[in-house]
Amino acid sequence: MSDTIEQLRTFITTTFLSGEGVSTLRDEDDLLAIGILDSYALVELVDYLRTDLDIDVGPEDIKLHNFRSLRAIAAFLRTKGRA
Amino acid sequence: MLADGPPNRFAIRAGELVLADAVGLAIEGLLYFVSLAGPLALLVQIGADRPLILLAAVLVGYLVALVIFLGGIVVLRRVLFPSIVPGRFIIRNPNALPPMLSARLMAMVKRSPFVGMMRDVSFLRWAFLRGMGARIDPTFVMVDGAFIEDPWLFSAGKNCVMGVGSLISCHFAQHSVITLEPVTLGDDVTIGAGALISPGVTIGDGAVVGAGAAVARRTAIGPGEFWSGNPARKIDLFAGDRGASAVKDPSIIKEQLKA
Repeated sequence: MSDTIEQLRTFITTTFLSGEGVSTLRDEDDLLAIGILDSYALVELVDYLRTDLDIDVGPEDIKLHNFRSLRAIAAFLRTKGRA
Repeated sequence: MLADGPPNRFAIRAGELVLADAVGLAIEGLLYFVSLAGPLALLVQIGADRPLILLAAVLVGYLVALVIFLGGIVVLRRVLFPSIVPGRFIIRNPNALPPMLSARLMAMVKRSPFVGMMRDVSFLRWAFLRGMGARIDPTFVMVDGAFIEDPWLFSAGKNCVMGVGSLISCHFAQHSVITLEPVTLGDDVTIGAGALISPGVTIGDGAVVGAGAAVARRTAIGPGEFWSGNPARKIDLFAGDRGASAVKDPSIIKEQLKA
């Protein structure tokens, strides 16, 4: 679980932000309210989950509560069978 | 903040906004003072007491004030924020401050009485925008009301025209994240009246963007293409039946132009 969160934290801070330290993002930070996840970023994130983490993300999974924060994404991945 | 989410701890606080506005106003006031003080001192010095000489001196003084004002903005931008880099930053990131505060300098120009003169007079436009960091040719033309939000990330080739009220923006802000992406025009690009060019857009040589078009972020418009609409899409002027029939019977075009 914590490994997944660290992996997501690294991906999100390095892919969607420029020159930002990994420590900037807390587990519970609202990625939408801060503005980090916009429509472009969401597509890239889903692509990353599918191809790099091999998670089966379907259209029915694209829900606000699944992508709201690092913790939420990790919880979502847990429902997809990723520890 | 979205409903039921935790508060956004990066959001701008009212105190910070007031501080930025207060400092901005002080700088703006100082700029006007310096711009007008020079010509005024000259006026007093030459002791222009005849009405026509006074009038001529005031008019020349206005132009001098304009040059000092625009020059002051350029110097402030260059000295205070020597480096502005593209990217996507949380507004608390040190890289977010230079573009955000430089945009405040552009806003000072926009609300000044000198903005029209800067836009309409070719050498003033060229010198000012180059000074602010744009890579443009002296043949770059902006028509009434056109504006470039972030000249430091803008470049254009020869003979480009920005139509009435068109806007080029190399940034957008979403909540507490600011995204800066360069906008690049080739040679002979025409941007129609009221069109919006978003960050990250590239436009090839000879391409035309129709009036009122909204060109979405990171769109790549190829050489010679015509794009129009919201969101802007490529329009093939000679596609399908319409084009073929128009070649056979040019009166179709004439009728369309009349309609």
